[in-house]
Amino acid sequence: MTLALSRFEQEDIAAGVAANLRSDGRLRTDYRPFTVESGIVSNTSGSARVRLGLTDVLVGVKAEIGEPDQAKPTQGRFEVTVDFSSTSASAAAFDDDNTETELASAIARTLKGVDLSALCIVPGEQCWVIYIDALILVAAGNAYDVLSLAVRAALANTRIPKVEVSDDGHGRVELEVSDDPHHVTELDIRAVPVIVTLSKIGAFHIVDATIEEESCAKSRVHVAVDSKGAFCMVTKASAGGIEPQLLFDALESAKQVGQHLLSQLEATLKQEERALAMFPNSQRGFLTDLQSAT
Amino acid sequence: MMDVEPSSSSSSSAMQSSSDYSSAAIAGAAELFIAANGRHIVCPGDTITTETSFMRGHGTYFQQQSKDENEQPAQLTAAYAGIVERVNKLLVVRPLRTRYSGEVGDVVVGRVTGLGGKRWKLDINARLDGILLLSSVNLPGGVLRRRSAEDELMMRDHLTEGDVISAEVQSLFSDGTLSLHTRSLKYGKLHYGSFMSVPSALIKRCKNHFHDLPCGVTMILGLNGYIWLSETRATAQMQLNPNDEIEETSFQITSINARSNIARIRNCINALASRHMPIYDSTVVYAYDASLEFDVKALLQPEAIDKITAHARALADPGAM
Repeated sequence: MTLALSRFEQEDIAAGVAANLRSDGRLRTDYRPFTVESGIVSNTSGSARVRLGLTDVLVGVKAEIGEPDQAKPTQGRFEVTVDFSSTSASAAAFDDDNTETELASAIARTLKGVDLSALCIVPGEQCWVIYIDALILVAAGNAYDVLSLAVRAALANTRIPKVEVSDDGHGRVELEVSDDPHHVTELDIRAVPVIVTLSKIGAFHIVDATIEEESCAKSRVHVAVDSKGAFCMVTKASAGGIEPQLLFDALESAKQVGQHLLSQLEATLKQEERALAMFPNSQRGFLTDLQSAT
Repeated sequence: MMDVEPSSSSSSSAMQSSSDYSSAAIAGAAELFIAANGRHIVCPGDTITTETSFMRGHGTYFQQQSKDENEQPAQLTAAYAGIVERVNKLLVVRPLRTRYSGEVGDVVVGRVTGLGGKRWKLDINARLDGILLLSSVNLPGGVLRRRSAEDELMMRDHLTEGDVISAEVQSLFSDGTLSLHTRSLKYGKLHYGSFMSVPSALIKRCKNHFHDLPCGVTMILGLNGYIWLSETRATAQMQLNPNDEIEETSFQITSINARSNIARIRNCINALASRHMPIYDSTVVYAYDASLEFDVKALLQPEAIDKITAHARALADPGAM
């Protein structure tokens, strides 16, 4: 989603980026603080809501038994869908380079490297299918990054019931899915990366662009970085070009920012877990932030 | 764009006949108005009062509790989340999050979204686009000059899509559209600076909405919730003969010192808005003073926001809270 800014505002933002002092006082590679709440949708296998500035993304994960991909018969699989909330982000849904399908395919691409052999039940026949359904409640800049953070937090929160496979002696298998909430496995999410979007303004690149900054960026690069600092995806969005040297610099800062984001997300989730262990009845989820704010 | 407002046709004659409502009704109602800070806060669907003597105003409707009308009278129910206000017998719910509904004389900040038919269309955070007529702006070459067809063709040279202006509400059209004017030297196109928006309900209506803050930042608090921050400049260019066209190149880009102060003020205003505090010159200055112990970018952290807004809350006029 982009805003129509006046020529003066665009020049002013570009001058701020060039001076390494952006309109909210951040340096070019500074990220804004974000909030994570996980496990807030009760009828999912895992869920998370991430807010960064005004941008607000809710992700629900549902594990169901299905058929594996024929190319990878011994692995489970992911299914990603992204929806814009009809009330809050309708304008963004019609934007050319920020559509639901592009967001979904970007997330699906970042998840390609994840080993899902633990989700195999009967090779070639039965496996767990992890449905990742994201809802963009408010798109006010930096939707890719927030979405990938929310997906990672939701996957970290996901619990999959254990399955007993028994052979009935005639070559047919019977599956028994445990309904004990404690008899579950967690997903191994160490290989799930986070997307860092870099926007080029003037001769420089910035991370975590606000909606105003996105509106005057000449080009954008989405880089997925995992916790080891490896690049899992590099995509250039929007029409403008990017110089080779700037791209190298951008990748270098994406690596640092991405690893920092991942450790920050980890710490936030741990903190939430500890808080929940201490106060199991505390109010969480929607419509509770007004009470905590006052 | 259009919000559906379940409102009554509150005729003025009924509003004036305030003397005939019973004192018992007031006593009953008085209890309703005791809540946090002595305010009656409601959510959509909340019963405001079961008294039948009140009239339904904006944001309220009568809800029939049972099918049989004679059994139980209809209850006055809130349609918005907001504060109940009372004018004699008329009860109104003023919503906290809503689009701007203007009044004549309000200072607003708006962004041009389109041109056509001797007018500019502006986004002013209202339900409908604001209108700036070609006849409501000062054009170079004489205030009382007739607007020719040539002027109409040159409109884009004056203001184009994306430009931000400050203006005053001149009148309300019958459909609720706000007509603006910039026929004063203090209004008009805004050049280098920073635009931001907050909920319009938080902007306090003041005598002056143009502030030159001591830290060298000029702040325009539009009553529509749009705010413009820029570097304070010597007023030399304001004193130019209004008939002369100001050269666009004569404006200077924000200096690095002012940039940091503008960012600080911006973060302070966002902090106040995030904690639902009223925004006017005093609260902004209080928040700014408290913010000086922090780095500008540290003001994005919730701990710093809590600290500076608590300081502003303690110092600000309690009546305004």
